Amino acid sequence: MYINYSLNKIGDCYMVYNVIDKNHYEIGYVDYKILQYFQRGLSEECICEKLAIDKVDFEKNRVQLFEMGFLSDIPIKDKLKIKWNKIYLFRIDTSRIKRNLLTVFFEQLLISLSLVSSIYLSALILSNKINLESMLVFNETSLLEATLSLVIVQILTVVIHEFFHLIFAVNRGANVPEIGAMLYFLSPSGFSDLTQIYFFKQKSSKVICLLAGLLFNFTLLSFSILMLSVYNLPIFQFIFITNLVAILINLGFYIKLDGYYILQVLLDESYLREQSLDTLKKLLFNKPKVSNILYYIVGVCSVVYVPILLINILISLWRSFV
Amino acid sequence: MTYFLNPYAIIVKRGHSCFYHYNNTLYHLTLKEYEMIKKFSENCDKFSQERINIFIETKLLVDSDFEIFSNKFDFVNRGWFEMSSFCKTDFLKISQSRVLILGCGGTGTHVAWNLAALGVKNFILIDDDKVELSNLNRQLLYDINDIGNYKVDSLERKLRNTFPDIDISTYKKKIYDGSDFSDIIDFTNVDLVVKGIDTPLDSMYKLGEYFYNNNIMYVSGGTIGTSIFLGPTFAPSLDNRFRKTKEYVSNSEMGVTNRVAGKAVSIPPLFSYLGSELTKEIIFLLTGNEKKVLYNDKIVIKDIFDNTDSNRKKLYSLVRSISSAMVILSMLKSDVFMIVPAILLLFLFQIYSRESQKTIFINYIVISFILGIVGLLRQEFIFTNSLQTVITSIFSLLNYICYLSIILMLLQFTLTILLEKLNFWRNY
Repeated sequence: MYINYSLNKIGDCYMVYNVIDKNHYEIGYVDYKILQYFQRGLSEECICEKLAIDKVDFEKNRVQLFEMGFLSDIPIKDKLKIKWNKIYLFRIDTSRIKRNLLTVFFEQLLISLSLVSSIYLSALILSNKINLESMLVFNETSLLEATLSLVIVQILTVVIHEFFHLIFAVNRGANVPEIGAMLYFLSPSGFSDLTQIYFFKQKSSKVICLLAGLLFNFTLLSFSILMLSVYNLPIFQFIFITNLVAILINLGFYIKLDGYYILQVLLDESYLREQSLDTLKKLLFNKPKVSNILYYIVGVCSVVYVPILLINILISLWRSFV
Repeated sequence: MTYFLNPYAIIVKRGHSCFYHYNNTLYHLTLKEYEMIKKFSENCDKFSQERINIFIETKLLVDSDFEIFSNKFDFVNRGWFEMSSFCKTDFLKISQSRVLILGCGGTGTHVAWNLAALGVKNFILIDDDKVELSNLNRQLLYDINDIGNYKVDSLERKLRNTFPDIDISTYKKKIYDGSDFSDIIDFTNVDLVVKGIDTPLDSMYKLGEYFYNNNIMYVSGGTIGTSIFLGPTFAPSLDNRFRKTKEYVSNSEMGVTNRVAGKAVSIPPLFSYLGSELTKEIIFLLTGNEKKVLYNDKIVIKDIFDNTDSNRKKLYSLVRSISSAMVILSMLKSDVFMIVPAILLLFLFQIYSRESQKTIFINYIVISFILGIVGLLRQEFIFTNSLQTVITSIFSLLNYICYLSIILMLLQFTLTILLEKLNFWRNY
């Protein structure tokens, strides 16, 4: 018998992750215990005895578990949805990572480093010593070298970004089954399955998990500024640019990235974007309502943003060539 | 026109003169005038026309002889003097009109009682239900002896006990749509329908459609949890766009459909509030004051236990705009030593006022929008092409709004959590 799930517990919630269909389920105590005993390899009779249930009931449960794909007699390949805009570079199975000393250390390290760097950056800004233009003037490197190193730096940054999401979530009891990197619309980006953080009771834990990646980017950004002031090497310029872009793209709520999800948590909204677009559509046939003003703002901004971003990139490219 | 002394105007004697009051103002009468005005019809030529006009304006004299009605049903008339915008003809219209009460539950019983007390003489009651113990908390006029009886029968009996000259016809039938009326009621005699049913759900919409097609006035309302919803009210002479959307069905769905377990909440004061509001609506419709109708073309959801008074809300919005303006000004001056206190003040106010996060976020968006616009105006554009300028400025404005508002939101959230941990505000 093959076991296709991993179990964990967040507060009072018993959670199970199905490896085949990549979904998280909230289950009851008895189901959780049965699955746990299966993982340990206990026999049927032993489980019945421990949980004080009938064999008939147990058999029903077992059949259901087979139907849902938690258990199987033969190994099953996971059903990966392939879309044209998502090309997976690599995927790392992280379901076994649980809270331990190392993860706590990493979390504390990142938090303290980001505090230090925020103090450093604010001191720089207050003393007007920051000079963006000098940082963005490239030293002599060939185009190929520059592109290659930018891509490598970007992929590395993205993976560590996702890794910090993982660490913060794991420290608060969530199971993060996988992280990885992919080409999303041909641009290198990362992903991590943070579904379980929505089962946290405290808003602040949700926000800090979503913010962890950005904290890392922020720390690296200030680190690169510090290094650039000492050694003017192109690699620090790449790190600087990559992290700046990562922060700018992630913080906005027009695209469905970290900033958007943070906003959703802060506003107690789920499906903010969908709701906004829906409300905008309804505006064509109905009177506008004052209570919907947030949806109108978010909807209009999200619709307008992407085309304007593309046009703006085209304009800047055209200006740089002509 | 002949005038009569208003029996509901209170005249007080003080020393050698008399006073009566109208609209919180005292009006003076000499003793002689008082003696004369008691029998106004005999002495009307002894008053000057100006004086008479004042008496009419202040409702000391009225055009209808209340004595005629008041012999028998004084308590019915009593309400009418207070409703000073109505007159005798309105009263006659009301008493002659015929009201169909669809559903004798929480809404139906309250409205029926109010209308009967205001002088409506003709009722049609439709309901197929029997009185249960759980109804008694909110459904007026039923008591413990009525349990098991049909609601229409009990209501008819109770109304007749109090208002003996009332005319009531009852039907025990479940109404699903307009076709169910065909064999029992001729709508040419019915002036107005009170739609007080909530199940089955789609019948709400179907009945609304039926009344619209047959030009029958109706009012409707109900409760959702601890709130009431009022509307839509329909009259052929009013705007009626609302019925084209099925929105109100989905509104009423919130309490009823997809219920797996549990009883719906029913809070008694909600129904008396609902009944009074609907009665007001009905009176305006029946007397032809359709401009005063409130819930035409819309559904208003009111939480009647929300006690935040409007003055406090105004104060909040004032303080919010002042502190936002301080933030904007300090940012425009780009003076760090002003920005930090200004933002802190705004944050503390936002947290203290306990506004919803959405309102707070909209406030931040407005602040960043204003700052972005001012920043754009200060910039000197290097592009010669105007289209480029427009696109780039829209892009930077969008970015500005996005980043500033979300950063403000995050900072405020951090402050909230800090205060929570310090127990700065209890019960936050």
